[in-house]
Amino acid sequence: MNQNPAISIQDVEKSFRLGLLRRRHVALQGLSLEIQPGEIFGFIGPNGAGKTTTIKILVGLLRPDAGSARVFGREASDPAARARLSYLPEMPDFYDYLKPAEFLMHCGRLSGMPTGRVRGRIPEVLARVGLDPAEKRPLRKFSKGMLQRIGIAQTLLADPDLYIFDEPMSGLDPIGRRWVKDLILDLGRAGKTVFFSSHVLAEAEAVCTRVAFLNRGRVIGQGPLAELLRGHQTPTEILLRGEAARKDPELSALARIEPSGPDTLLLVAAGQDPGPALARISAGGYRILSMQQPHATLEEVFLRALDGEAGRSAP
Amino acid sequence: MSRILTVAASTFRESIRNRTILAIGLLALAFVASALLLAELALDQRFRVIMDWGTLCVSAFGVGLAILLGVNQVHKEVRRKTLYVVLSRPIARWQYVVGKYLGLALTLLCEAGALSVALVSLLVLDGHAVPASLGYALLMAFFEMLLVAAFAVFFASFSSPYLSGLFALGTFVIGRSLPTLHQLIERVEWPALKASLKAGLAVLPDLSRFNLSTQAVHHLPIPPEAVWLPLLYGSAYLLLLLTLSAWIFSRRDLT
Ligand SMILES: Nc1ncnc2c1ncn2[C@@H]1O[C@H](COP(=O)(O)OP(=O)(O)OP(=O)(O)O)[C@@H](O)[C@H]1O
Ligand SMILES: [Mg+2]
Repeated sequence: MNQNPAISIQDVEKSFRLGLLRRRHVALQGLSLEIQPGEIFGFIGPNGAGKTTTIKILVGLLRPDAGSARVFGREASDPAARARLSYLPEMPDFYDYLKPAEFLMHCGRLSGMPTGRVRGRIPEVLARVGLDPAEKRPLRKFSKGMLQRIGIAQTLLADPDLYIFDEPMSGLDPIGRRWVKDLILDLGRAGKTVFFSSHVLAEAEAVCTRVAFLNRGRVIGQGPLAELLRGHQTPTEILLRGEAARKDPELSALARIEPSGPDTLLLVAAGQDPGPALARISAGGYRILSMQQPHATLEEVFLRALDGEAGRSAP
Repeated sequence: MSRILTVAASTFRESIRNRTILAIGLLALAFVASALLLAELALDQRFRVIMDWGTLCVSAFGVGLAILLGVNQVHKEVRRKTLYVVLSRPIARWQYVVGKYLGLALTLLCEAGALSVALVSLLVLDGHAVPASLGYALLMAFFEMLLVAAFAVFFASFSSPYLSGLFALGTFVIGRSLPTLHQLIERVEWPALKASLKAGLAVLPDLSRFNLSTQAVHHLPIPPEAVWLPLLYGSAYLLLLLTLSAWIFSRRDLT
């Protein structure tokens, strides 16, 4: 049996009509993506890139103007396609007056689970997201982080094969973000497919098997994150105490020297071994305050991907 | 089917726990009870006053709530995005619309039921016999609420809540005054205008047929067809409205 991709998006176009004049605003243009079962896929792009629009097409809330979106081989607009996926909306907001257990029962029943099975799952799922199964307050009294957790609980309920999370870490504190990362990794280990969006590159790190960069409704690069970041190195930054090192001629031959307040910052060019500079530092008796290799920011990777794109499309 | 009922159950639960709706219900009860005060002023016509005022309150609050809920239910879910977790599950849009409507109907049934019980208790407390025709009048009033709610849901499927509220209210007012309007139209001299006005009114249901309170007050006999004909006609109307609403809603982008 040949296996269908978990997600297959082909040449999807989507535009919105805005205002009284019904001006066309293009949100997605010729978007294509394919995600295999078992992948953890990061969908990365700045605000307004079209991440949410893509996700809403996948879960059947929006219809593409052109092209096709399929989930495990089924057209996304077909309710049956949604039997194998679950969706965490961006900044979720739920019914005001339902209690967590009631809300989950509602969700489970809508997923077609028998009442008895949902009832058995509710305490498990609540415990998994760190909420008290005996919680009696209605959802309207929940904090943002708790709503996010309920939102995730709701996706775990029916134990589907595909998880679509829209900005699952936004609005969470560092512990919460860590927890979401771990959860995604757990899902991956359990053989599930996860597709999540983010505008922060760091959120995709150490989690994704593959990422795609989205900009203005187009994929401008995709592949394993490490591969996309390769060749995109940043200078090594070494901070030295005081001003003594500023006039060291040997050091200035090895690295760029910049004053940094009362101290001195040494920048060893990207891709160059900082070893010789370190040897000189210890020989010169300078004191190292810190040493780091900053990550490429989303912005930098993006600009590069855009350059690549422009280069490729040039005649 | 179970998915439709799930949507209906949650809608109902959300509605009856909603403070505003609860407040409206209590206010309606107070209004019905105020029939006793009015009766004090009416001296010899206590029965008539309680019946008139009571059925008016049941109808007015019921129709008001029908419009309020019908217009807001779906729209609120779209705006608050609560419906994302519903429609991203294996449920068809039409099932959602039907479920919402059923939940709404159940809420209306509770409200109208409570008010009806209050009205009947008032009559008994005040020492009157409860006419059987009151039962029919209340049944028809309830059905009218269902119909108005379906109109509200229908208008709300393609226009803003305020506009749909106005449309639904307009439909109710015009529907109630159809016989009068028809008489007025007969006097129009210009045939083209007359024909188009008639055609315009023909698409609206004659809601005056659902108002049997006069018969109930005056102990007039209610022929069976005065009940089942409007019920049949109303049901067909209701089905059509729901089908259209579901169809429009299925084609909508939910952003
Ligand atoms: N309902 C809508 N009506 C009009 N334009 C819309 C609508 N929804 C999205 N857009 C536009 O489509 C583009 C893509 O929006 P989308 O919400 O998909 O971006 P995003 O990548 O999710 O951004 P964010 O990181 O801010 O969530 C944006 O330019 C946005 O203005
Ligand atoms: Mg978004």
